Amino acid sequence: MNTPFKTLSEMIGLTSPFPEGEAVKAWKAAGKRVIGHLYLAVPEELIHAGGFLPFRMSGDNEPLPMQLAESYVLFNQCGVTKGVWQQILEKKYDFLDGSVHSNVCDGVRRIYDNCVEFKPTPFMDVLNFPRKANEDAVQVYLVDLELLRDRLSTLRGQRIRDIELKRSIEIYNHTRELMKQFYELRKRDRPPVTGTETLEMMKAAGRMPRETYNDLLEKLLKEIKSSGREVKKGKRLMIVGNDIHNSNWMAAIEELDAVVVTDEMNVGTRYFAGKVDASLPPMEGLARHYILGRPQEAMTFGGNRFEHILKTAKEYKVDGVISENVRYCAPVGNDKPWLRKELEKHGVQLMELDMEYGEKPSGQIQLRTEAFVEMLQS
Amino acid sequence: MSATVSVTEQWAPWTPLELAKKVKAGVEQYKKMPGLMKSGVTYLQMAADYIEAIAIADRDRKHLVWHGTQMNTEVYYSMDIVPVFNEMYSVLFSMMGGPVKGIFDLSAANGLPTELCAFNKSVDGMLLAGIAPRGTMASWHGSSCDNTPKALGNIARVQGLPTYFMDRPYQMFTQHRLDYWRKQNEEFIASCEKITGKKMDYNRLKKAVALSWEATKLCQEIEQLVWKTPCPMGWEAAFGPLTAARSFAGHPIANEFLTGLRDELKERVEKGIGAAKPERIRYVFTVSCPYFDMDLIRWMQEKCGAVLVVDNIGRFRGTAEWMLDPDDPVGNLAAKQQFNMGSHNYNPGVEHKEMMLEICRNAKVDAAIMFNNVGCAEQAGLSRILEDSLQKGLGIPTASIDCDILDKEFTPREQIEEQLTRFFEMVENGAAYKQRRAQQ
Amino acid sequence: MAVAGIDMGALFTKVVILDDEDKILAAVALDIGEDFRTEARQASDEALKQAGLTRADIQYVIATGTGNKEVREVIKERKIAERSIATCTARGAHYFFPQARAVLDAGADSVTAMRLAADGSPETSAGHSKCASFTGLFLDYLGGMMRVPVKDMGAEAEKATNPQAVASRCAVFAVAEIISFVHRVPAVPIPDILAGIHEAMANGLHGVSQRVGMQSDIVMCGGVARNADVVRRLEAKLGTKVMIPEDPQILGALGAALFARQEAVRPDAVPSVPPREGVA
Repeated sequence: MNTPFKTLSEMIGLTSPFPEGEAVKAWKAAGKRVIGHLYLAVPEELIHAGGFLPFRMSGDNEPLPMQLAESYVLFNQCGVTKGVWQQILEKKYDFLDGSVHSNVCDGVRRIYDNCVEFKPTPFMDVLNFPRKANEDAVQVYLVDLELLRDRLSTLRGQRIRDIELKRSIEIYNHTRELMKQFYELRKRDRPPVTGTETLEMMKAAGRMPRETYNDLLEKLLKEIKSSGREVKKGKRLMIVGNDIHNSNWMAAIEELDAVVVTDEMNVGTRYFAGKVDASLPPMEGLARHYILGRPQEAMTFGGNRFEHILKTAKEYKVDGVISENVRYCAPVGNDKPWLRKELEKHGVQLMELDMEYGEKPSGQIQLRTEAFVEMLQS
Repeated sequence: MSATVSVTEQWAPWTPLELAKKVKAGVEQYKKMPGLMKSGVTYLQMAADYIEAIAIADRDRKHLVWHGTQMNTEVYYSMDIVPVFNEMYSVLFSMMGGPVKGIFDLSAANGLPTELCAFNKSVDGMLLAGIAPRGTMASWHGSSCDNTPKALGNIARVQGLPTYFMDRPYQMFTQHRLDYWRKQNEEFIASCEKITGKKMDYNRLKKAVALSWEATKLCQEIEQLVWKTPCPMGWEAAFGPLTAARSFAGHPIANEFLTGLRDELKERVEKGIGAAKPERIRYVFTVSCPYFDMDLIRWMQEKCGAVLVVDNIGRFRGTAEWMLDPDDPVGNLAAKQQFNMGSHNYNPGVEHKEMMLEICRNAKVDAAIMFNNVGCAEQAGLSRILEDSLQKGLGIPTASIDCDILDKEFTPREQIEEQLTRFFEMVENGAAYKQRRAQQ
Repeated sequence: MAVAGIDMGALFTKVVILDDEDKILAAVALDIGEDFRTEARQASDEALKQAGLTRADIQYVIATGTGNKEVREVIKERKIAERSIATCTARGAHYFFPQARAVLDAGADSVTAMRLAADGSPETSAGHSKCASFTGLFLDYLGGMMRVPVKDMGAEAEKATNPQAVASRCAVFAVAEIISFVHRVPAVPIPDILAGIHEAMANGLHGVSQRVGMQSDIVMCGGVARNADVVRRLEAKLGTKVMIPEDPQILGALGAALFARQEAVRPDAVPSVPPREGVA
C-alpha cells in the first residue's frame, strides 16, 4: 500500500468538505467573492483577474441522489449537469456569488436557465462559445469575452485591466506547466502516482485560490520526485469521455492489476494542454487559446478530439482505453461508435462503459473492467 | 462502415421509393375519410411529393442534401438541390408504420447509446439497413440542440458526403454575432456552389426568399385564425404550417398550401365550424409533438374534445420581421434565423417561457402537454420552467408524458390515453378553466 | 341513501361506503391476489357487511383507480361511472384535511404528486410510473428479501445504528446492491439496510413531490404512508410534517364515494345498476 503524499492530503484538506472547503471559507471570510463555472468554455483567467475565485462546479466523491434535480430537469438530462443542479438545489452551492455558464452543450445551458428561474445569484451569465475552431470563431468569441469582461468589471466595481489579465494568465499558464510536469511522471514505466491521486490533484485546482494551488503543486511535485515511489501494476489504462469526479470510481478500477496513467477529460489532459500565448494582448491570447489552442470539445465541428486521444494514448504507452459515457450526454455519446472505430483502426484495445454520474462502479462495471484487464494481460 | 449497404428482404419495403408509395397510399386513404379538411389531404400530398422527390433525385440527376432543422431551404430550391430533412424523413417513416424499433436495434448494436435522440438513432439505423436516402452533400447548423449537429455529422461520415456546418451563435441578437452568422450563410452558399459546380443565381434566390417571406406572413395569419374560438384547425392539417414553412420555404408549393389552408380556415371561422365538437379543451404542445403516434391528436380531438391551438415548434417568433431588404437575400436569410420556427429552443429559457406565456394567453389555452422525448436533454431541462410559469401565470397545468418521439412502443398507447383522460378531467375541474369559460 | 366508491389498485382493492350524511360506514382494503372480479366482489361484500347494508341499499357507485382495460370494460358494461384516481384521491384528502394543498400518493405501482386548489380540486399533477423504484411494490419485494413483513419494516429500520446508503436508483440494480450488503463479511445489519432503502425511497418520493413544488399542507397517502421510517425521512427533506389519514389507502375510494354522492343528488341522476347478488 502506497503512503499517501502529505501535500496531496493538504490539498484535499483545503478543499474539504466539498464543495465549500476550507480554502473557500477562508476566501469568503476575507470578504472576497466566488464565481462558479462549468466546463472549459469560460476562461478562468478572466474571472481571476477580476479578483474573484473561479470555482469549478461539479460532483465529488459522494454519490448524488438525483431525484430533486430530476423534479426540475427530468431524468433524461445529462448526469454531470444534473448532479451540479442537484447540489445547487440542496443549497451546497449557496456560497457562490455568481456563476458563468455557456452554450458548450445542452446540459450546461439548461443549468443556466434553471438557475435564472429558480436559484438566481447576484451575478449570472451565459457565454456564447463557438462550435468552430477558426479565425472567425476566435474573433466573435473575443468580442463576447470583452462583453463578459465588462460585466465582471461592473460586478467588481472596477475595470479589469490588461495588466491584471496578464498576471492571471501567467499564473494559470504556470498551473498548466506544473500539471504537465506531473503528468510527465505518469509516462514512466512505473509511475509514482495513481490515477486516483491524479484526479484528487486535478480537482483541487478548481476549488482553491490558484496561487495557493500552484505553491502546493510545486511542493507536491518535489515530494513525489523525492519519494522514489513506484506503482507496480501490470497494465496501463487511459480514461476517455465524460468527467469522472468520484475518486472512488477510479480507485475501484485501480484495485485491479492496472493503473490509470492518463485520460481525455476536462478534469485531466484537456485542462492543461497548450498555454495562453502571453506575447499577445491578453484578451486575444485567451480567445485564441480557448478556441484554437486546446483539445476541442466534442461539439466543435471538425474538432481535434480524436487526434488528442490517439496522441495521448501513444505518448503514455497505454495498454487499453476505457471509453466511458455518462448517460444522457449527447456530445460524448454520439462520438462513441466513431471513437471505437478510430481506436481499433490504430490497434488500441478498448472497453466501453455507460455510467451514472457520481456513482461508484457497480458490481457489473467492476466485473467487466476485470475481464478487460485480464484480456489485456493475455 | 461502407457507404453502400445492400438492402435485405427485411428492409426492402422501406426504401425511399417504397416509403413514397406508402405516403401516397396514405393520401388516398385521407381522401376517403369523411369530414376531413381539404388542407389535411393537401398537407399529406405535400409530404408525399417530398418523399418522392427524394426517392427519384438520383434518377433525375439532382443533388440530394441531408440537412438539419431550420436550414434555409430557399438556398436548396434556388439551386435545384433536393433536400432531405433528417427529422421529417424519420417522422414520415414512423407515421407510415415503419419498423422504428428494428432500426433502433441496428443502431444500438452498432454502438450508438440508446438514450440519444430518436432522430439520430432512426437515420443511423436506416443507414445500417441500407434504406437511408443516398445523399450527395450535407449541411446543418448548431440550432437547436447537441443531437442535431451530431446526427448530421454521422450521416455525412457514413455516406462520405461533402459538408458545411453553420455555427449558429447562441444569443444571436448582437451585431457581432449577426455578422458572424451572416458570414456563415455566405459560406454555406459558397459550399453549395462548390459541391454542385453551379453558381447561385441570386435573382432566383431573391424570388425564393420573397416566397418564403410570404409564407411566413401566411403562417402568422393562419395562427390568428387557429386561435379563434372554436378552433377551426383539425388534427389532419395541424402540422401543415410547420411542414410547409420549414421543409418547403422558398418553394411555391408551400405558398399554395398555406394560401389554401388560410382560406379554408377563414371560411370555417366565418361559419363557426370548430374542429372538436364540442370544443372542451384547448391545448399547447410545449416542446414536441407526438410524432411516434400522430393518431393521438385525432383521438384527443374526437374522443376528448381537445384541440391543438399552439404547436411550440410550428410558429415564428415575435413579429418575424426578417425581410429587411429585398435586394439582399443572404442578409434576409441570416435575419430569419432570429425568428425561425423552433429557433427559440436554442435561446435562453427565459425567452421561451415569455413566448409561451404570451401565446397561451392570446390563444386562450387551457392545458399544456409535454411529450418528454427520452433522447432530448434540451427540452427536458426546460420542462419545469415552462410548467411552473404556465401554472403560476395562467393557471394552465401540464401533462408530462415520457416517450420516445418516434417509437410508439416506448410508452403504451393505453397508458397515454389514460394519463391524458385523467389530465383533461383535472383541467376541466380547475378554477382557471371555469373562469376562462365563464368569460367567453 | 348510501353511496359507494371502489378503487381498484395494482395490489389492493378498496371500497368505501358513505351514509346519507357522508359519514364513513365502511372502509375496506383487500389484497387477496385473486382476479379482479373476485377481489371486487369480496371487497364489496366485506364493506357491505361492515356497513350492515345490502347491495340494494347502495344508490350510486363510482369506480376509480385502474388502467386495466378488462376491468374498465366490465365497469362500463355495468354502467358504473368512472372518475380519475387523481381527482378522487384529491377529494378524499380534502375530506379529512380541508386545509390540504398537496397530495403525495405513494401507491403500489406508481407515485403521484398533486397540488390542490382551495376547494380540494387538483391544479396540477405529476407522476412516476416508468419503473418500480420507490413504489410500494418495490418495498414489498425488498421486505420479502429481507424476510421482514412490510408492516414491520418501519419499526425495524428505526433500530438502525449506521444506515447503509443504497446508491442505485434503478430497482434492478438496487436489488443487486442490497444482496451485496447481505453477503458482505460481516453482513450489514438488516435495520441498517432497511434504513438505507427507506432513505433512497424518501429521496425518490421527495423528487416527485418537488415536481409540483410541494411546500406545506401536504397529505400523504397510499400504502407506503404506513411506513413511519419512510415518512420521517421524507418529512426531513420536505422540512415539514405531512398529514396522514388513519387509513392512508382508502382516499381514492373515499373520493369516488363522494363523487357518487354528487351524482346521486343530481335531479337527473340515473342510479348505478347495482351488481347482481353473488356477482361483483
